[in-house]
Amino acid sequence: MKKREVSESGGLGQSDDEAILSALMRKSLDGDSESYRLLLKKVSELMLPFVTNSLSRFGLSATGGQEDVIQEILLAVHQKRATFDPEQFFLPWMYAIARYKAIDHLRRNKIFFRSASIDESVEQLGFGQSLEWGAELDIKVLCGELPDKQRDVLLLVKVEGLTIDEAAAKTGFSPSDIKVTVHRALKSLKKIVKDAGHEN
Amino acid sequence: MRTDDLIHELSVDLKSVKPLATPMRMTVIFVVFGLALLGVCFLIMQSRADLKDHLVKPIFLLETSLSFLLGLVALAWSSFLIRPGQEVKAKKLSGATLAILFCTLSLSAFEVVLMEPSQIQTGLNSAGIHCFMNVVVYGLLLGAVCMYWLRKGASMNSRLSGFAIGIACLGFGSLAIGFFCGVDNGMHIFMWHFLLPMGGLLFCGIATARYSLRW
Repeated sequence: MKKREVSESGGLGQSDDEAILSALMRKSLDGDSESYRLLLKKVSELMLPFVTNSLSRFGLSATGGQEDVIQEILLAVHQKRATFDPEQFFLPWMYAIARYKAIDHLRRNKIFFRSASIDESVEQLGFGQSLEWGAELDIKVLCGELPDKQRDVLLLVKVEGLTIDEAAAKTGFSPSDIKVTVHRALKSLKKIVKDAGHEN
Repeated sequence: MRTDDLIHELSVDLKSVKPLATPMRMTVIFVVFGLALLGVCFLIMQSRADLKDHLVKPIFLLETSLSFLLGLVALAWSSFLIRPGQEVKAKKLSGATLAILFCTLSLSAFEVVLMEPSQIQTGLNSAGIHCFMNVVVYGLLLGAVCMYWLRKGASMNSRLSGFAIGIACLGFGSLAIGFFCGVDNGMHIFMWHFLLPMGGLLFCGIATARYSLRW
């Protein structure tokens, strides 16, 4: 992960959330209760779409475990706050914890992945994460750098939310071709994002 | 409990927290402990009689350097694995660790390939179990300290952390035994200083980390 280059003012490569949350976290480490309360509030808000997306991706009703997972993430953030390095970005740290807890929750509830391995699932969750914290990275602009087939399939599956079968029916490709294309597109996107300087 | 209530409960009476030592600092602490342990070994055990002669032999120096490097890089890897959000650096270090492990084992195996069958037989003599035990005991002592410190972090993959600790212990263990074991037989070194201790330490590392590093 890149070291913080700047800044209190939210400099190069930082979203507003990153600047605000990092500042709140640094104050929290010094024992500022009010900053910590605001931080946890903001984290729980940020986690809502992440957790909902993670659970619904594996067919879990969002209403059931959503709040439980968010609370587990908040507890983990609290218990492991000493592992946050004030010199590093906050959001990658937070999303790494969230990803760990989301997967932990899925495993505990014996969620098996029919079409994707657990590692692919981690990749998928990680992908969603980087989109959220790097607000300046526009998904459609990034997709513009992909080959036509990869771009179209990725937008259908990941942005429009079509299932593999629906995307296959719409494009005329086979379902396994769709899976492979999505996988390759995500890999290419990761490389593009990394080359743009967002390692995590 | 509602999330708002939990937030209130966590934030009220908040105490300041000292951030965990940086991964590099943690690595240095582990290395210092590993070397201190080696120093203790020199105090309580007798080093090999021909150590001074060996200290100028290129092959001995190469093996020793590789073992140290293996321990160092694996310790750095395990230190990064407990820092959420630093997976990229951990991934790079995992590659470096595996590459050095491959070089270390290859160098040792290459010596075996050049040996006569009778020498190979001698190297497999069960007297080497003494060396195996020494490497494992040294590794377990170092591993226990590492595990204690790493528990303070948040391991992103407990089994992988255990694997990294096991490799680090192997590196320092094989480094240490090189100063005390007077046998120069390549097969003995490959089997009793590397291969079998690696199996034992990896098993212990993964089995222990699986439970102790979960959070």
